[in-house]
Amino acid sequence: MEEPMTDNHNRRTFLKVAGGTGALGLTGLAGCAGNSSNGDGGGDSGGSGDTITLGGSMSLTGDNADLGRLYKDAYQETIDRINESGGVEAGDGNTYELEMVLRDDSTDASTSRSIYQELIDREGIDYLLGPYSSSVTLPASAVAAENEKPMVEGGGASPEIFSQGNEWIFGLLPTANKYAKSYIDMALAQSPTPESIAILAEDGTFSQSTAEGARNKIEQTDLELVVDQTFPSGTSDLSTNLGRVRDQGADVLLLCAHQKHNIILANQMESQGVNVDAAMGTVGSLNDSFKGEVGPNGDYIYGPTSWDINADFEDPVYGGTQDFVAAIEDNYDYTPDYHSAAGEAVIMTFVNAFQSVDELTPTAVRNAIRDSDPFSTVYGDVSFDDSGVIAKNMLIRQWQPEPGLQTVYPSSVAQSDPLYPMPDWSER
Amino acid sequence: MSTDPDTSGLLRSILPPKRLDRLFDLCGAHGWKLIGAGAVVGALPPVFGLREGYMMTVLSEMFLFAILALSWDIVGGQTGYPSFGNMAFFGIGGYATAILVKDAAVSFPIAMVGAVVAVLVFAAINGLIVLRLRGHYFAIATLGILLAIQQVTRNLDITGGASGKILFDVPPGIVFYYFFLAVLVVEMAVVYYLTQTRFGFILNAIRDDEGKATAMGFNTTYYKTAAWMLAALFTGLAGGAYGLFNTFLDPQTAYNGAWNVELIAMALMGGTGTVAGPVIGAFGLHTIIEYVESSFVGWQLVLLGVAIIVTVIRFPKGVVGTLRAYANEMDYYERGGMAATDDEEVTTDE
Repeated sequence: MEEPMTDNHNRRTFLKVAGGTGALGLTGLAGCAGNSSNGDGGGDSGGSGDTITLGGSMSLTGDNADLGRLYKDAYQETIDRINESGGVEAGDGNTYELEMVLRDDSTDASTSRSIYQELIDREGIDYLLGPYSSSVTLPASAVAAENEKPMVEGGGASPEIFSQGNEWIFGLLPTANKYAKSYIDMALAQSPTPESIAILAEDGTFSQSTAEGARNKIEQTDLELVVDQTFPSGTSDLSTNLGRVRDQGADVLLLCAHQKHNIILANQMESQGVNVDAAMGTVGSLNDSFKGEVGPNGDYIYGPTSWDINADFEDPVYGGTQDFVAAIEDNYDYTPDYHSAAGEAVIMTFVNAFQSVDELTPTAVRNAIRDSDPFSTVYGDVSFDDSGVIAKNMLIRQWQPEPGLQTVYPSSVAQSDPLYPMPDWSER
Repeated sequence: MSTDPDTSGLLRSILPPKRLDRLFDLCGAHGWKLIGAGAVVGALPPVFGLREGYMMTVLSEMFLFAILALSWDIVGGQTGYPSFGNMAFFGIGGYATAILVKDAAVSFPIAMVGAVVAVLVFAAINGLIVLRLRGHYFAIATLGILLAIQQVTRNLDITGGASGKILFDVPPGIVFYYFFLAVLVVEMAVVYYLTQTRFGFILNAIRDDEGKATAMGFNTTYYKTAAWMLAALFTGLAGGAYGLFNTFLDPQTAYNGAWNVELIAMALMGGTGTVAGPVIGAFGLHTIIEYVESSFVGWQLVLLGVAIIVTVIRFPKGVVGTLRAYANEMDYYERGGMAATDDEEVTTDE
């Protein structure tokens, strides 16, 4: 019986002591941190010496790691080739090798700010590679603006990124509100003409922007929006929402989400026998890893792309688009998609700017990117509008049982006609 | 409590228990001064030139996490009610401020007042309901609150729905540095003060044996709700500033489930039921996280998990608790194997 009382007395003193110790800890730690910060005040420019360092974060782990890898590999392959061919002959008369520092943000928007601050202050990086996903890009772009460092990104497509008056951010993807436009146009050009559409949207910034763009587009057509549901990004079950799609008899299905949910969609459509005339996932549905996961369940599914893999744009590093495709296939054992090509164009945007400035400073490089005439990369011609977004529209591709992934819209660049409507599951 | 023979041998030669015990007593006797000194030292870096950049961000985040961990400990450590829903207060504070600043063009200080009111109303309503539960029922209920409010936020237009709120035109980083530091110092002072009051003793009595506390005539629901609202107040203040600090707030960031686990781990690693423990745990764990994120790219979650597991296994009482137990060892032997009393310490309390 005595013990609790002793315990309480001890605790009482203990708490007093602990309070003091806490203050001591606060004092010591704050002091240490304050001291260590004094040494990094005016970090050398990423352009000092013979090396220019490009730095950023990427989704190297977590749900979007498959997509993050596409960027990382494209960055690294392009940088390696540039260095192997002698480096970048900058406009200031010097030749530089390129280096890359890439952190992992796990697609977590709360990590973005400190990662980019660390890259700028401790690594001394002046030229920033954007992260993947709009929610991570938004705080990262704010850090770029605060520190006046140009950021070029190929992984954030929300229009909000470019509507903040931020002059330091440049995006290589068409904004998210354009993702569904070509798909809806394509569906309306088919026979029988679809009458209804369902939207299932993940609750992220990008996917919501995509869904909003789709709703605006639908309002301009005769399509009836029969299902419009948002689901949490953490979910691994779309069955309830797919049940709604089936019950409402939607002709066209649009999934505004990333690769994980595209995989869930394809498999659960099959297991629940959800039949629609066309289904498209906005991100990750055109990757080899998507098709590898879902097998034949992925047949007939559409996806948007800002890049036609069959095109052959000239590129100063690879020669042309097909050389880039071959390089990625040979060295990384997968077929690149538009994320890869956008990654290459991110590096080339910086290289083009470095070549055209008289003095290698972040402001001069930012101005050179902004004012650049269109230049050719494996991704196509690159130039940016006043808000920092590339002028591009989406193409539509479809997984076809034979011969596989095909560009199906617009007809001017189509490899084959869309297989429309998708056959019912009972007929496959 | 005995410590590991291997480590204790080395530790004894460097810091004998008796000396550590005296150090604890010294800190206890000068707790207010130490908090004041900590506040002064914390305020110094900007004076000496640290006014922006990475270190300012990291220190601001350290203060932020210390606020969150100490707030959790008011209910989880001092009162014995482990909550998994504290981030609900954080998110509500964040969204209230974001809406007031962005949509109503209210100034930051006034928006913070609005955020505090919103959080306290929310905490009062929920506290009266969930604090009737105990143990894992309480833990699950608080988790439910967090998930529910996240879902509600996701579906409201005023919060920006799933897309969240973008807050680009915000005060400079130094404002948030001092804001988080000030809130932390005030919170430490409040908790330190309360631990010496009847209110604090009753919270501890609830933790140790709520049935007996009730039998002694205390309205435990009142005290638990008051502690819950106090935790909500400081968590909401932190959340209110965080949205602007981060320039972006969406349901995933505002009601960050991973942070909810992190702040509990911080309190456990530092030592629950103490004033210093959660703060030390927050500073220590956040330092580890920052180091691992930049040095072991792609392995940060694995290494973080290992660090937490090792700490919990090796130091189940946390840093402060383990050191305190070690310092008390000699008392046990000096008193002939009897449990140490703290008559002298009680005297110094008065």
